[in-house]
Amino acid sequence: MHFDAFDRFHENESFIHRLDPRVKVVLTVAFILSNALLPDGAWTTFALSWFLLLFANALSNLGLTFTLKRSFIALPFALVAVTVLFSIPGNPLTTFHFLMWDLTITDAGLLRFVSIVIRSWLSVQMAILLVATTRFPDIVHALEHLRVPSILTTIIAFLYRYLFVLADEVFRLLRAREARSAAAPGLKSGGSVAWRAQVVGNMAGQLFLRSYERSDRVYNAMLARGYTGHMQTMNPHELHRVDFVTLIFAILFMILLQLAGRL
Amino acid sequence: MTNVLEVHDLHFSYHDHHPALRGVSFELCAGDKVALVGPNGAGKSTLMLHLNGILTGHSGDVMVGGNHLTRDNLPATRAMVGLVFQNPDDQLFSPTVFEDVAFGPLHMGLPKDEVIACVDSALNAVRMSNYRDRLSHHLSVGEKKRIAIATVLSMNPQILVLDEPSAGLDPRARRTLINLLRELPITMLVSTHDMRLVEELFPRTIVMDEGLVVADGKTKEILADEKFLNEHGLEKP
Repeated sequence: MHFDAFDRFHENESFIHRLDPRVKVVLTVAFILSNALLPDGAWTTFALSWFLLLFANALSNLGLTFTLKRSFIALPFALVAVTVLFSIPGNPLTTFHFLMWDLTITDAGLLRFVSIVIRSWLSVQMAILLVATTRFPDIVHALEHLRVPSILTTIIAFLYRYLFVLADEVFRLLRAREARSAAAPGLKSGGSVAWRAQVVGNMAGQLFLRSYERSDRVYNAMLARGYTGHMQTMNPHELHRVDFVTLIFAILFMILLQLAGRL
Repeated sequence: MTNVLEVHDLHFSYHDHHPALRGVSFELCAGDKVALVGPNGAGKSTLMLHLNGILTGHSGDVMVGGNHLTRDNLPATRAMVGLVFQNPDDQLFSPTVFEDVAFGPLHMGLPKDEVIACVDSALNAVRMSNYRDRLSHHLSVGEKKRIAIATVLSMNPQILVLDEPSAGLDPRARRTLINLLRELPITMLVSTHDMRLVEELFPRTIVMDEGLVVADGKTKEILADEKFLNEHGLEKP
C-alpha cells in the first residue's frame, strides 16, 4: 500500500515541462513577488497577470483550467486577511454585530481584501503549476543552484521523501486500531471521549518515537554509504538558449505589469 | 461440525485495478488450525484483511459465526475475529503493554474489573504476565509478537488470524511461538512462509497463488507434492 496522495507531479511532455527547473522556480517566485507588489485595485493589471498564468497553463499542455481547479484548496488561507475588512479606515459600507463587537466594513477595507484574495489566488496557481510540471527532486536541485542554504534544501528533500513513509505509518496505526475496535452484544462500545482522545494522543506519541528512531537509522544508513552533507544528483541541469529567452521575456512582462499597475 | 468462517467467491482489487483476489472460497470449522501459504503477492494478507472487514470485497461473501459480514455487524465481527498484523510495531500503538492489551476490551465497553481480568488472562496465555507495565517499543521482536497476539486474545475471539507470525524471529523465540500456537485452544488461520512450521503445526493447508486458492487439503499430501510446491513458488520443508 502506498500513500501517494501528496505527489502533485503530472507526467507530460510540454514546453513548460522541458524548461530548466531553475528558470521555473525563479519565474514562479518573481510572479508571486510581482503580484504582491501590485497596488490595491489594479484590476486591469490583475487581469493581465492572470493572462500570463493562463498562457503558462496553455504551454504546459495540462489544460487551461488545470490550476484553476486546484486553486480553491488554498482559498481558506486567504481568509486570514478577513480582518482588513474592518481595520482599514474609510467610508463605512455596512455594520454588523458579531459576538461582543460592532464591526464596520469600509470601502478601503473591502478593496484591500479583494485585492489580497486575488493576489494569493494568482500566486497559488503559479505555484501549483510549478509543482505539477517539475519533479520534486528537480525543484530541490534548482533551489540548491539558487544558493538556498543546503540545510534548508536537505530538510525539504527529506520532508518530501519521508512524508510518504510517515503517512503510511499513520495509515497502518489507524488500521490496527480499526481491527480491534470491536463491540460486545448488549454493551455500549467505543469508550468515553476522553479515553479515545488519550488513545489518539498515545498513537501520536508512538508515531513521534518511531519517526525519531527511524531518523537515526536513516542517518546511519546514509553515513554508511558515504554521506557528507551534500545530495548528489545524476542530472546536472543545463541552461539552454530557450531557457534564457523565456526568462528574459517573462521578467520583462512582469516589469511591464508593475509599470501598468502604477499608471 | 459448524463452520465458524466461510468465504465464498471473494473478489477484490486495489486502486490500481490490480486484482488481488479473484474468487476465493474456503471455510473453517471450529477448532481448525489451518496454514495459509503462497508466494509474496498471492493475496494472503489481502484475504486476511477481509476476514474482519478492514477491506470489503467487490463481490463475494464472508460469513463469520453464521452471519454475513455487513457494515452493521462489523464491530461484533471484530470481536470474533482477532487479526494480528505481520509487523508487531503496527499492532502496538499504546505506550505500555497493559494499555495495548486493554484497548480491545475497553473499546467493547467491558467493566473495569473484567478488562483487567481479560488482560491478565491474555498475558498469561502468551506467558508475558510480568511484562504488564513494560513499554512496548522497548521489547524485542519476539516479545512484541507475543504481546500482539495477547492484544487480540484479550477480546476473546473465536478465530485467530495471524499474518506471518514467525517472520524475523530467532530460533528460541520461534520455538516459544510454535508452542504457544499449539496450546491455544482456538480456531486459527495462519499465513506463513515457514514451511517447517506448517508441517509441524497445521493438519490442514490452504495454498494461494495469484489471488486464487490453488489447493486446500491435508498438509501432508500438499507438502509431499514437490512439483506442485515449486510451481507455486514454495519449497518442501
